[in-house]
Amino acid sequence: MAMLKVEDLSVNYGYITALTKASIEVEKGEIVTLIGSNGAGKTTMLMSVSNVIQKSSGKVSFKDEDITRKASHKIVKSGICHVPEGRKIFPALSVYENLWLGTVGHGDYNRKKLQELVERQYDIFPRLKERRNQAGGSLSGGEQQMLAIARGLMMEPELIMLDEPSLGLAPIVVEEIFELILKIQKSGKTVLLIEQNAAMALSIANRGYVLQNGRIVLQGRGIDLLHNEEVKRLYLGADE
Amino acid sequence: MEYFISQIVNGICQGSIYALMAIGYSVIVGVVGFATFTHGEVIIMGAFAAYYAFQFIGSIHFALGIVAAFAASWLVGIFVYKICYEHFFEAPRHIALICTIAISILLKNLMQIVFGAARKPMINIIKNKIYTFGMIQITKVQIIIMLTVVLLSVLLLLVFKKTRWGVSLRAISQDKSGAAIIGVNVKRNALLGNCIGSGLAGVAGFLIAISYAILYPSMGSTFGMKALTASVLGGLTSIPLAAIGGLIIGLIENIGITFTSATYRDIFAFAFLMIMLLIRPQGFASKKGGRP
Amino acid sequence: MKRYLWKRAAAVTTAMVMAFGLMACGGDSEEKENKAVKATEGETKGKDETKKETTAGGSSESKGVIKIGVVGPITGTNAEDGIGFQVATEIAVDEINAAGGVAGYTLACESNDSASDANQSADITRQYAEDESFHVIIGDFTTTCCVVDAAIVDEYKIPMITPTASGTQLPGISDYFFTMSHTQAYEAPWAAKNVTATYLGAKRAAIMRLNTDWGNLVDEYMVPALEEAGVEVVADEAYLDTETNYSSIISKLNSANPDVIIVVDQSNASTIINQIRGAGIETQIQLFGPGAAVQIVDQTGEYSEGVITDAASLLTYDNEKAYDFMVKFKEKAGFDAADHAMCTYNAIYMIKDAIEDAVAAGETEVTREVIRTYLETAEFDSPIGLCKFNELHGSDRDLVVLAIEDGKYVVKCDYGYFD
Repeated sequence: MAMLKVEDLSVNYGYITALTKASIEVEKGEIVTLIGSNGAGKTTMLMSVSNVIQKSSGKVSFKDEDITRKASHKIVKSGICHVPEGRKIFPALSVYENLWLGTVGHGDYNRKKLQELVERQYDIFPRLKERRNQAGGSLSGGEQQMLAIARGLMMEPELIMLDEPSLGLAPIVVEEIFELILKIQKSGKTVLLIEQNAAMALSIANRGYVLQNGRIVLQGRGIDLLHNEEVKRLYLGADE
Repeated sequence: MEYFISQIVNGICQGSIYALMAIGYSVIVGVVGFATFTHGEVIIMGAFAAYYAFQFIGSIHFALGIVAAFAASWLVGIFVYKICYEHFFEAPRHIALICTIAISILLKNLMQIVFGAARKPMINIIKNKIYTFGMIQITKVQIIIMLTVVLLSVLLLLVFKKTRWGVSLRAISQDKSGAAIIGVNVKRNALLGNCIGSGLAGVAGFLIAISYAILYPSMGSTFGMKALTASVLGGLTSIPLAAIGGLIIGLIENIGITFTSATYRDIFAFAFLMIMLLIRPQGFASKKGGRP
Repeated sequence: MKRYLWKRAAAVTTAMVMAFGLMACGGDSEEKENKAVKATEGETKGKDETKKETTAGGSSESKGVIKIGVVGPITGTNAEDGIGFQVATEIAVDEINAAGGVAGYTLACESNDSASDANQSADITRQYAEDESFHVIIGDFTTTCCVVDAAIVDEYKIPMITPTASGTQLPGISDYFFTMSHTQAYEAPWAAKNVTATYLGAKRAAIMRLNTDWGNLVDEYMVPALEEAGVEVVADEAYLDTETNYSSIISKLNSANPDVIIVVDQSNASTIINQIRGAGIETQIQLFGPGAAVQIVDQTGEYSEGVITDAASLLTYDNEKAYDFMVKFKEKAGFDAADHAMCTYNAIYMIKDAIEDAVAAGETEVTREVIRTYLETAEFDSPIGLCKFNELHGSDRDLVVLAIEDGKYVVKCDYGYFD
């Protein structure tokens, strides 16, 4: 059973077609990456899964449940966590408060469970612990990205969807992030990764899809795509 | 000189009521995301609710008035939300705005029809006494009003800082879609935010009625505008700055009157608004941090 | 997408229709915030244009109908007085018709709302004047409206009686214009001399007044009269009719340490009293303007204890002569009658007297001119004294001094006390 299944998804913004009959599948425990150039429709794909934009046609199922029209906050409750493009942490809230908010999708927690979860994040991200009372907006780009991911992990999701986690980050930070993603996979979670940095993404992904002008044009194992001539020409020369 | 000092006391007392209205207003605008024009009517509804609660129950108690005012305005908040906001979140912004204008006209006229346009007295809620500290004279009513405002503000602060639900309200006011993505039920929280803001406005209306000893339906509009004026100081969404704005307006009005005449009261408030809009229309709230 | 556009259009249109529809029905104009549909308890409902005609049920053969047009502020701040005009007229007309009419004629009346707006008042007056079926007009409430109306009735030669307007320019303004009220030139100095100086024995007076023609006129007469009587005017502040927060004025007056605070107002008196006492100020309060309005006593509770005012009459249920009228009025209007309503009632009886005199003197037809002529000599022994117009078509009414004690008005100095 595929954990996430997107079938023939089409999305239009006014007269602009963002996605045309795109289909992807993510199996449990995999890292699947979606690569493509700017405007290819990658972010749209994730937003559609989270149902924060309107779909023109198509179906999205999560663990065999149709979530095409499910309310966003309920989708989160089902176990999908979306770490958006540009991080979208709350700049005027502290690190702790941002993490705390990660649990809203899950009803009420008692203090103990909450503390456990938060401590777990602090273990993975020691720098967040240092800055736990600082306003989110005062963190560096890399730290904000970690905060966004940590917040996502607070949701205890089964599937994590990451939208361009490397955007605007220094190479050394990017490496950290990608190692982190592998760690997350090892802890039993499934990852759907959107990336412009095709090289890094494909090197850690089990499988990948290539999105071009709203259509899936290529798919295969990560390693295979990494050595694919088309991919090399179009995407691997143009990474950050 | 004594007159001047008593005017400052008046100004602070009245300013604190304006602050409460402005706090309610900025909660609404922050959480729901739309400016509202119904605030004045919500304010007066609270006052009327307290008035009729006293008549219905037969006894007058300050706490009863507060509860009645808060509850009634909370309900009006639900009404306003369902009509003006619920279905228009994705619509162009002016739709909700026009809706609130229409609702404010509806409410004002409905109140005049149901409650009568005549003025109603609001007296003997608190046994008044005057306290003198040197040159400063302050009445018991004024003290109670200011304490109430402070108490409610502290309560609001606690909710916003210490409860997860309060934190998610703040989150919504900073980034609605970001909040939706992490699982915040934006619509329901917008409703709650609207109701909280309305409830606070209702209490403010009750306090105004006590302080003026009078209430009538068309009283609301000026206060709605003053609440908006006060929160402009904070860019419409910052709560602490809205409160400060309220105090400033209260002081400016009352001090301004000492040098001119009572007929110019409203002019000072609106002159303040115009100056604010001219020099810093986005308010003084600092944008903490970089890009979200 | 199209569906979305339609939804938007529909919503915007609906909102606009709602907004305009409500503005039209509510009749709200920008200036008068208080102008609204007022629902009164009781049968008579005040609306923007009330056309209520009462005709006789009395005698079978009537020589004709004498129609009275009433114009007054049925809505707005002075709504109670406007409704007073309307209801008092109807009561008088019903009484007279039930008793067989006037010398064979039946009376009818129609009321319209001027909302204390001179333009509206003029429009209504002109409508009555141009309609041949109207013989005489009752109204308006304020001097400002009456000045304009007087010019119209002078042109159309139809008699008009105001029960209340007291502007000094009104007596003599037109042959066709009559006023049942005394003027400020008379009342203000009377109050200053007799109430403030003599009865209260005050030496320092602080005045707060309504900033209208009436209020300013009162001030003009009162201040010199006070000073002449040896009372120092330590403060004199004006405020708009729409004001609700008097705290700063009250502070200002209080800091001048007066012996008495004179409140020159009409509809805001209760609020002002509440705020003065609410602020803990114990200074003696003297009212000028509202007379013995019951609303003041009702809306102030114990705050009005000891307040002094002057009035042309004290209408209570204890007054045997006025009892009948008071009961009927309360039933119809839902609130107690005040001096203004009584004067209206009296005005109708003056008209009756004029018509009776005319018929007795041999007049074959009761025209507008006839009514006007005989009004000059008409008399009516009303529950509150003899009614009679002086040479200038004004009235010289005597005044009493009242105090509020235990929530009731009490006569402190009766008619003629100071003579």
